[in-house]
Amino acid sequence: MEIWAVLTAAAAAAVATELLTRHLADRLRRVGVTGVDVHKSGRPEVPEMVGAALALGMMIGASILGWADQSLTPRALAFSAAVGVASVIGAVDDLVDLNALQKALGAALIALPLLAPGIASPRPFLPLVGRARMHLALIALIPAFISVIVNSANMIDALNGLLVGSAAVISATMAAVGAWMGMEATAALSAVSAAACAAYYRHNRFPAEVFSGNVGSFALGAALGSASTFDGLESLLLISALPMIVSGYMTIVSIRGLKSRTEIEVKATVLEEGDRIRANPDPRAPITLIPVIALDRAKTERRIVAEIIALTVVSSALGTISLLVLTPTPAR
Amino acid sequence: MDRGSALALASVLVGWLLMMLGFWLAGEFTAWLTTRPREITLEVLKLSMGTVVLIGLLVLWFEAVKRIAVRLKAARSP
Repeated sequence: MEIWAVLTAAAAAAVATELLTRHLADRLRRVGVTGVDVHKSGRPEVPEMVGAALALGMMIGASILGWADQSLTPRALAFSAAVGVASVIGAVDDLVDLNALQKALGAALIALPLLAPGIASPRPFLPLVGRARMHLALIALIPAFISVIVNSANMIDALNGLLVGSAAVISATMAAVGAWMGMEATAALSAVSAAACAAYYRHNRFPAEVFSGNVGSFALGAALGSASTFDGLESLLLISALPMIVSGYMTIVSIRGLKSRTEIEVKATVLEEGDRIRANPDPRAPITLIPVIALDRAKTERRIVAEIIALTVVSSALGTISLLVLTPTPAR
Repeated sequence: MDRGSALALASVLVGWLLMMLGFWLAGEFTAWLTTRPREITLEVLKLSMGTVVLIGLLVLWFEAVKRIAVRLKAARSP
């Protein structure tokens, strides 16, 4: 792996994301593609679906990486294809609200580029165990794995900067652990994702200037999931994304299935004086990680996001320890 | 740290421990499999066993976290 190629690709992803975010935010605001920020008493209108800029930024970075380092070309292309398919499905969901079955089928489509021969590693690296082997099971497990990650990412994207901040932490962890273990494709493409997330986070953090929409959250989930499969680092992603996965599970169970936000009758949280968020006392309200954190007392949006990102730092550290300290078998 | 934040942290820490237990079980099952006659092989079997155990334990824990959260919320409601 050429280090200059990774640095160039990461820088290109960050610059492209920054420029595209500014451009798209202006355009989308002008044509009226906006959403209301319900967690602020002024209920400001914010441009929606700007996550397309993040998706494009990651795809541009990955394409440059694939061009600059030909050993990474097939996986860079698969990464771009997965992110591209995910963002198209997310955009359709933003515009026409897909039902649960369509979303599940969509997640399987995202996994298709990863199932091409020589793309996903058939030897996942498991904590305490080392390298496992699975060839046939890969075809069934990768779509399920991608579906879990994409839907978890989509469901936690409810507060300013929450998903993008968490994804930046997870991508940076995968880049560092991947580089340490000599897993080139995962390290390089995670570095590209982390750089794009860092650039986009400036606009999406509290108080958000832009909303990602499903187009952004699906693309981010696909980027995290696909990068982890290239060198068998799925276990690191599963551990690092535990806060997202816990929240996703609780959401699905409490609303009884995959549903769009418009189908959920009672909101999980209520807004109190001083723009503080508290768990909705209504027993029908869904339980996710956000109301769990605001169970005892109302908290500011910024505080809740900081707590969940801190949880992601903890889970990423646990994932790193699991693979680098507790697993004696060499990675390769 | 309030009870909500503590529950969220516990959900991650116990979730991690259960995942590690699941991976350890997968490893043990692998070791057991390698001592059996070759006709039982199929690498898929060992992974599917570990995966089922892992997912089952995690789902039980996540369900417990959700139930604790619902109880805490009901206790706080007027």
